[in-house]
Order: sequence, then C-alpha cells, then structure tokens
Amino acid sequence: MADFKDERAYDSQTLTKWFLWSSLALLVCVGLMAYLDYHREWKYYQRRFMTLQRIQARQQLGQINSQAQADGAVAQYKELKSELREANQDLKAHDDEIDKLQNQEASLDAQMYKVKNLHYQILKAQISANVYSYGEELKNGKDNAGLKKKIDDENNQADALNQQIFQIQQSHDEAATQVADITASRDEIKAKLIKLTADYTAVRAKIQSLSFNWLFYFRNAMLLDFMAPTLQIQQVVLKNLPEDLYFAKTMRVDRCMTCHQAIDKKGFEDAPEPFRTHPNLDLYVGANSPHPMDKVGCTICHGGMGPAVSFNGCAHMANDAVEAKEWAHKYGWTNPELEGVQSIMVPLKYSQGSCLKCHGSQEYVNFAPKLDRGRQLMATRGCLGCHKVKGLEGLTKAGPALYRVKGKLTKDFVLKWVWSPKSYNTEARMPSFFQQSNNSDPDSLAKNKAELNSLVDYLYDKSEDYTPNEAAPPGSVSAGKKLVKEVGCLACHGIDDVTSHHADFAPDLSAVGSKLSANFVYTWIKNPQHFNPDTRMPSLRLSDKEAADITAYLMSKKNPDFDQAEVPNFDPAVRDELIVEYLTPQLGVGGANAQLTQMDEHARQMYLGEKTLNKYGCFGCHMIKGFETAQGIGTDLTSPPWGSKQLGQLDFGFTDPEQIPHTHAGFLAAKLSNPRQFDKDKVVAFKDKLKMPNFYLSDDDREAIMTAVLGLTDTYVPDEMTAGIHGNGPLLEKGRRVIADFNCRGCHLIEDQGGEIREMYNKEGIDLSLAPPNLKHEGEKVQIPWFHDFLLGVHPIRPWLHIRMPSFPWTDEKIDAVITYFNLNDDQVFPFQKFATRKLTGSDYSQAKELFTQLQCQHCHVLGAQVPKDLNSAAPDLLKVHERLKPDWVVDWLTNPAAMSDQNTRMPGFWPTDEPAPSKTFGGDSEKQREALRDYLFMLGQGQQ
Amino acid sequence: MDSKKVLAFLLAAGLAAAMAGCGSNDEDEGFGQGGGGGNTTASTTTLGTASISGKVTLSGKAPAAEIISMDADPVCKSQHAGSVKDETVEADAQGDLANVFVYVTDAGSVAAPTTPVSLVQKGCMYSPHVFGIQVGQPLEIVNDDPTLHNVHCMAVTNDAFNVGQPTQGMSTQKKFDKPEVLVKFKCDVHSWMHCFAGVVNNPFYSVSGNDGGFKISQLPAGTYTVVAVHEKYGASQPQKVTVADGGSQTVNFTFAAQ
Repeated sequence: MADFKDERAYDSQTLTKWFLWSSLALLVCVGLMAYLDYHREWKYYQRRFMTLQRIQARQQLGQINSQAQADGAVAQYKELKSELREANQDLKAHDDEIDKLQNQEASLDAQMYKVKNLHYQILKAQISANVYSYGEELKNGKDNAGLKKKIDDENNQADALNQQIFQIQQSHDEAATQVADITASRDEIKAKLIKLTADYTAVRAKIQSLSFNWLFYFRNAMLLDFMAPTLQIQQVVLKNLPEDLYFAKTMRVDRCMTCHQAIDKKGFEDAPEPFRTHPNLDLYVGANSPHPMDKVGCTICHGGMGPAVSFNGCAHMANDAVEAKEWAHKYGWTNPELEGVQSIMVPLKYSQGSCLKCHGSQEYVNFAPKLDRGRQLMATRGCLGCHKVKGLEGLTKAGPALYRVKGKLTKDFVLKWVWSPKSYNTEARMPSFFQQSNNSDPDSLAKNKAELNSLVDYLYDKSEDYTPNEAAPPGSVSAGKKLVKEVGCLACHGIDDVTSHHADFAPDLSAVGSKLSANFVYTWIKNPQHFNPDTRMPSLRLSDKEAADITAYLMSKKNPDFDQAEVPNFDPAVRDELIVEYLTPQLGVGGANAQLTQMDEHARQMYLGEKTLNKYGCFGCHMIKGFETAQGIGTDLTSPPWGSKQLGQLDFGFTDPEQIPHTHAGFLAAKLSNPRQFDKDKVVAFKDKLKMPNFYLSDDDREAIMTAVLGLTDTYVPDEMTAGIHGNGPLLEKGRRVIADFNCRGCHLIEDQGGEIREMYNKEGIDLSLAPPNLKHEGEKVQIPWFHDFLLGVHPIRPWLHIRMPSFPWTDEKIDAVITYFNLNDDQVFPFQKFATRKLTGSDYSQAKELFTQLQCQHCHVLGAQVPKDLNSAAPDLLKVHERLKPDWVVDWLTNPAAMSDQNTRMPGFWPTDEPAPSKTFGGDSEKQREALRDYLFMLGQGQQ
Repeated sequence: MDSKKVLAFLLAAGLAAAMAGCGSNDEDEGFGQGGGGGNTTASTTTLGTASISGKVTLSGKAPAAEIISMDADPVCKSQHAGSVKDETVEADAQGDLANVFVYVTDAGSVAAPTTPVSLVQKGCMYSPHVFGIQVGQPLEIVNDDPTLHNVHCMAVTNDAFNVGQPTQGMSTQKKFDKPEVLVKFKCDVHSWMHCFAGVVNNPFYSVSGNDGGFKISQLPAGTYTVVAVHEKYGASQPQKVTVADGGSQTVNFTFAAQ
C-alpha cells in the first residue's frame, strides 16, 4: 500500500490550532484595545467635568429656589398651581363639549388630508401632465380641443377642491378657537407658570443631561461607544495658521479643549485645572474676542503638541522646579525639552512672548505687560545695542551721547563709574563689565584697568568742549524735593526718596550730586537741548526759581562712599603688553615691539582705547564720534530666531545641569543673571573671555526679558494673520514708536495701557483725577490744528495741576506721527473734517443758556476770567471748547463721561440712562439738551453771547 | 443574527433610550426640587434667631478731627451754624469708635430686600457716613441741597458710576451686583465729601454707633467669622464665633490710632 501523502500545503489540524490560538490572541487584543480606549485619560477628565458642571448647576438651582422664595415667586407659583387645579376642575364641566370639538377637529384633519393630499394633489399632477401634452401637440400644429376642454374641466374641479379645503380649514379653525376659548383662562395660567419657572426648568434639564444615567453608560459603554458617545475628542482645525513642516504646510489641529473643557465657558474661573476658564475671555478664546478659539486655537500661543490628548503627550512645560516636581509625582512627567521634543509648550510665565508671532511688527503689544516690559527693557538697558532684534531696529540708544562728555563729567568719575557702576548707584543701568566671575583674577584686573584708562582717554580726546551757559543760583532743597515729586520728573526717573513709584525709563537720580555740577544740572533741566540737541529729555517749563530749587535738591543727592572711592589706576607696562598682543598677529612679536616703541604715550592710549571700544562695543549704547553706525557686537537674536535655536547651538560650557537646566529658559536665565558663568572651568585667553556685561537684573525684569527673547521663534504665520502691517497698521505703528520712544505711557494711559505714574497716586492716596489724563478717544476728542499747536508749544489745560505736560523737542514728523496715530486709532476722518454745530437763536438759545445755568457747569469749570473758588474741584476752561474739542465728542462726553475716559474722571454724567433728563428745557429731551449745550459752548468761545 | 441586524438593534435601542431620556424631565417644572448641592460659598441661608453684638474701640489717642472749610460753596456753609468736623475718625473720649462696618464673612447669601437704603446729601455732607447694603438692594441717593453735587462711586469690583445732581430733591437709584467692602463715594464738587458702603450678600452686618456698639441679628445657629472694617484703619483680624439658636455672643474689636 502506497503511503498516503497529503499533498495539501497545510495540515488542517495544525491550521485549526493556529486559527484557534490566533483568534484567541486577537480577541484578547480587541479586548485590551477596547479596555485601554475606554480608560483614556481624557475620558476621565470629561466625566469629571460633567460632575463639576452638575454641582454648579445644582448650586444655581439652589440660588434660583431661594431667590424665588425671597421675591415671592414660590408663593406665586403655589397660587398659580392652585388656580390651575381650579381651572382644570372648572373645565371638567366642559369635558364633553371639548371632546366633541376635538373629535370634530380630528375628523376635519382626516378630511383635510384626504382632500388636500390625495384628491387635490393628484388632480394638480394630472393637470400639469395634460397641459404639457397639450403644449407639445400645439407645437406640432395640432390644437387638441378635447384635451383643452378636459384641462378646463379639471381646473374647475381644482377650484372646487380649493374651496372645499378652505371650508375645512375654516371649520377646523372654528373648532380650535372654540376649544381655546373654553380653555383660555387655564392656558393663560399654564403660560404664566412656564414663564415663572423657565430658569428653573432650564437648569433642571441641564442637570438631567449631565447625569450619569443608564443612557450615558449605554452610549459610552465599552465597544458600543463607536455609535454616538457623549464623551468625544474635541478639536479645532486652523486653516489660517498652518504648521510649517519644511516642505509642506499642514493644517494645525488643536485638541486641547478635549480636557480643558471649560476653556471658553464662563463660570469656571476658580475651578481646578484642567477645567479652569481661560483668563480674559473678551481678549482670548471667546467667540467674540479678537482671538477666537476656532480661528486662533491654542498651540500658536501656548506651543505644545496640538493633536495629543494626554498630559505628557501634549508636552506640557512646568513653570518652575516646584511645579515640575508636582507634575512628576502626579503624572510621571519628565521635561519634554530634554527628551528632544520639538513642539514643547511655552511655560505659562513666558506665554506672552508668543504674542510676537503675530504682533512682532508692532511697537508694543497691548495687554501683554510682561512682554512689553521685556521689550522696553531690551531698549532701555541696552540689549539692543549689541543684539539685533527684528522689529526693534533704529531705536534711540540706551546710554547718553558721549560727544561732549568732557563738559559733563570728570575723568575720575567716568573711571570709577565704568569700573563699578553699581558702587555709584545700585539702580544704575550701565552694566558691569569688570570685576566679574571670569575676570577677577589679578592678571585680568590689571589688564582691565589698563583697557579702561585708555578707553576713557580716547573718549575724552574725541569729546567736544562744553560749558553750561547758566550758573545755578542758590535754591531750597526741600522745595526742590517737593517739585521733583510733583511736576513729573518721576514719570521717567527714579529717586530713592520716593518709594511709592520707581520709574526706570531714564537714569535714577539718587546719587546725581556725585556725578554732575550744579551749573550743568541747572542748565540741563531748563533747556536739555543746550547740552545735547538730540536728547529725548523734555522741558518742564521750569521757572528760574523752580530750576534752582530742583538743582539744590539734586546736588544734595550724593554718594559719599563713591566720592571717596579709589580711582582705578593702571600699569603702563600692562597696557603695553596688551598693545603688543593686538599687534602681534599682523607684525609678529618683534614687529609689534618695534611698532610700540615708535608710539608715544598718547598714541599708545589712543591705540588701546580704540581697540577696547571695539572690543566691548560701547557704541551699542552710546553715540560716539565715528562709531554712529557701527554694528553691535552680540549675537543676532532674530536670524536665526533665538527661541527656535537647536539646544546644541547653546554653549552651556561645563555648567552643572542640576543647577542650570540645559534648556532654552535655563540658558537664558543663567546668562542674564551671570553672563560670564559659562566660562567657568574653561581655559580661555584674556581676549577670548566672555564679554557680555552683568546687568544685575531683578527677578521680574529678567523674566520679562526672557519672555521677549523666548518669544522669538521661527513659527510660520501668514501675512493675513500678522498684526500691524495691513491698512493703517504701519501709520499707527509710526505713532506708537514715538509714543514708546518718548515714554508717553509713563504718564498717560494710551489704549488702556501704561499710566505708570498713577502707581504713585494710588499708593499715596492722591486723587487719580489729578493725574495725567487717560488718552482714550483722544483722536475723537481734539481738533487737529489744536493738537498740533499743543504738541508744538504746550499750554496747560488745567494749570492748577501740579503735574505738567512736558514740552517735547519734537520735529513736525514726530508730531504728525502722533496726531495721525490718535486719529486713525479712533477711526476718524483724517486729516480734514467738517464740524457740525448750530448757531442757536431765539428760544433755543435761551433754553440752552438756562440749561447751562441749571447744570451749574461753572461750579467747577473755568470760564475765561471767571475761575471757581475751589481749585480742588476746578475743570478746564469752557471758552476754549470751540477751538479744542470736536463737536461729536462733546455730545458723547456729556452722555457718558466715564465711558469716554475712565471711572476716575470728575465729570459726572447728568443724563444717566433710565432716569429722566435733569432739566425741563427742550421738552425734557435728553439728546436735544446735550446737543444744545454743545452748541451753546461752541458759541460761548466765539464770543456769541 | 448577522452583523447588520446587531447594528440595527443597537441603533434602535440607542434611539429608544434617547427618547426615554428626553421624556424623563417633563414632570420637573416648579421650584423646590433638587438644588441641594449648594454647599460652599454660593450657598443660601435662611434667617435665624441668633445674634452677635459687641463694641469697637480705638486704642491710643484719636487724631483730632479736621474742621471742614466750606468757604468754596456758600450754599453749604450757610446750612451749618457752627463748624463742621470731618467724620473719618469718629471716636469719643472713651475711645468708642463709630462708623465701623462689622459683618459676617462666611454666612450664605440671603435674598435682598426690596426696601431701598437711603443716602442723603444734606449740608454738603453724606448721611449716613458709613452704611451697609445688600447685593441687589436698591440704593436711593438724594440731593437735599440747593447746589450741585456729583455722586462719584469708586467701586472696584462693582460697576463704578458718577452721577451729577444739579438740583435740590433729585434722586438716583442704583444697585450693586457683587459683594464689596468698602465702596467709596465722593463728591468732586466738594472735595471734603466722602462716605462708604459695605456691600454684602446677606443682612448679617452692622455699623457701630457713637457708643462703638454694633449688633448683628437674625443669624441662623452656626460658627461664623466676623470682621470689622474702618475706612482709615482698614480691616480687623477676623474673629471666629459660634452662636446657638436664640443665643447671643459678644465680639469686640480694637483699632490702634494712627
């Protein structure tokens, strides 16, 4: 017997086993998959949020109940309920009648269906068909009279049916009306009940929908949740903000709201994360905000992995070590940046930096105070002197011009100052180049002293002569102290005698007596442009007496320790050594020494001075003759954008990652607190040592600058989403640059931002109505010719105020930029505008005059020579209205003064909404009164009384 | 059963469930059901019978009250026979401190009464100088002087307002919609005029009288935190006190004169 050989390629028994095991394995996989999917992190958060919402709704319900109890709604409800019962009782007698009518309605409905939907519709279809056939035959020249008659007959039938429909409808309506008449009183009660309990019912329904009832479990059950689960991943797809993946742009998808469920819902401001409402919904996320969630999304500002739906997958970034530890414990979090994740989130404290992605072309970003502060510091502390930042080019240099330094400062002062700025004044903005962690060894100190001395000699050699043109008369220190606080110096300068506000836009004055001569100070504060025609320092129109008092006070502000400090002298041998070092690469050691012997003392100082100037880049912050356009010596921060640099490009040296996290923020924080620490443990030649000076920044300032630098990224944002470049954008930015450059916001609130001097008023309890005004609606408010004259030659509007609007040394170009800005920002017709005021006559005039008297405008307002008795409550001169104010604004102002400036204005609203007009003139018509008053004020100033 | 049938069955079941869910809340109209979840700050309270009373004193020498000069407005001046003193620190020789707003910070809210609180400007002074008002309770501000006043409410949490009242007898009604202690009112026409309101969401407050005494009544039994607030000296340390139904407890406050 031949062996039977199964020729098939498989053995069915083995196959069956394989099939069994693999299907079992597959089943386990499916089960596991379903289980894991069922237990995803985000579902847990969505369930928790339902509970949170339910608790909130219950509280709401409780409030509705107690409010209903209090305002009698419950009693009313009970009353209505019993009325309803009675009404229902009464209706019992009519039950038969109602039944009969309702039956009638029902049979009429049936009839209607039959006639309308069957007979009539069918007939209509027949008619259409026949009309078509008739038309076709007619086209072929055959007038089918029979068919035509048929159509006519059918049309008649249709009319009859129509008539029938109408009658049925009528009978139906009649029956319905009869029912409604009978039940009218009950239905009314029912409607009242529904209205009374509308809120309650709505909240109840909400609670129902949020309950974990069997339906919820059914819809979200494992394996059944593919149909219509209530727990779902939520996402926005952002067409206008694509992600740039080098060769292709893909749509940005953000799913953050899958867990951050209340991000756009009011009422969860105090809820625990991830359920907290986004702060300021009117500005961010809210549907009507400028950054709605469906257009802007989340990751463009916050960074991170948009499509991820787990805590660690999103690349959340901790704010600080404490939070990092908490997260590690709670979520098993590790720093994603250290793990090489590219799209990490921006730690929350630096998130304002992200505004730069779209707002980088703007001078300042409203409502991003930290970023704004950081950018301002980069200008005022001199970062921009060495580091280029796109959008911040061409700003005024941080330090003073040194063209005439010889006439302002003594050489000894400058030597001591540059050697150790902080020993002169702890608030000094000049950074420290010397005596730092990498150059405090004796060799470096000696070399630095030689560099410093030659540098100062060089600067003095280049300096023009200058002599103050006025001699300071003696003045009163106490009067000067009061003036400095009151007239407005402190909007830009800080001084240690005043602790309620410390501005740092301009130098701190706490030790200025150790720096300048009395004659210099006196001449300078009276006319700053005498010393430096290009200075931004304005004149406060000080009288001789005021200037003398302020000079006396400032000269009393001395730092005796600094005065007595030793001047850093140098060793000429060390200087020569440095010169040889510089010359050697070109000439060789022999040649260099030969060259040196040919140089006299002066030439040697000049040679090393210029080399030193270039080495440290002094021209970044100071105007120095011949170096006006020299390029800054630091790293360009925007090409490539610093925040998007590869970590490998940052030189952490031998620093300990435990102490300095090897991340962008870690590097920057370390660099800004001690720039030289990355030289630690390195062997570096003197000339190659790190040179970035130490700014001794406060923690807040460092964080602000970090925000501004970390925000410089390479994220792709299309032009259409970029602010400040469309329409009037560039014109507005031109004005905003002047505003930023001259620190207008040190005093004024502009676009609701700034007004820093108000801090002093607030802390000292001074009425804010006496502070510099809020410039909201300024473009709507003042006439352009007046504005121009005012900025050209300031004449105070409220001369009794202590604080003064300074006279700025502005060119026409700057004035135009500012006026244009204010007008365009308020959507004004610009530059020419027709003004609508009327010349009042007859009774209109007399009524307007009566209104003016009734409202007692002159109780506060100046009227030419008539000044109110109490200057504490005085208000601007009404005779100037016609030349200063725009007529439309005057009416808006009268309507609601607080809305046109802010709540601090002393001007009350005389026409509160919901209240009758304050006067019977013009028939008590508020609008007519305001317009008439405006017209009257315009006539007053033009002498038409 | 093939898979299509299973799917159809499930869909049908889901649909039925959805309909059942929609139908289930038809009966829930009318007050009083549910709402028991209120447990923390948003809770509501009913009035009780307990009370807290006490006295506010000023330690140290009270600053001499400034004499107000009303020269700027003869209408004001003519209404006072003698000199008028500033009401900021109203303390007598024994240190009894008046015009201190005392309130319970952690009681639930009670619906506001509809009777208005009245604030009168008479003789260019506010009366009362310090008062309490409930959230949602109307405030009636009356000008009883034949001169211009403006009522400039400097609220921070609530909406601020500034209303001119140029004629005698004018009155304005306002409401506050959030608790805020204290809200300052001032008149910009008469720089000496100011007064303060404590806006709270229940009637458990009191303002100390000339003898420094205050009494908070109608409290339900419980443990409460009581705070006294003075316009110049600020808020006192909070004090905990427990009251039983019908019972009364004493709490005293002392401010240090500055």
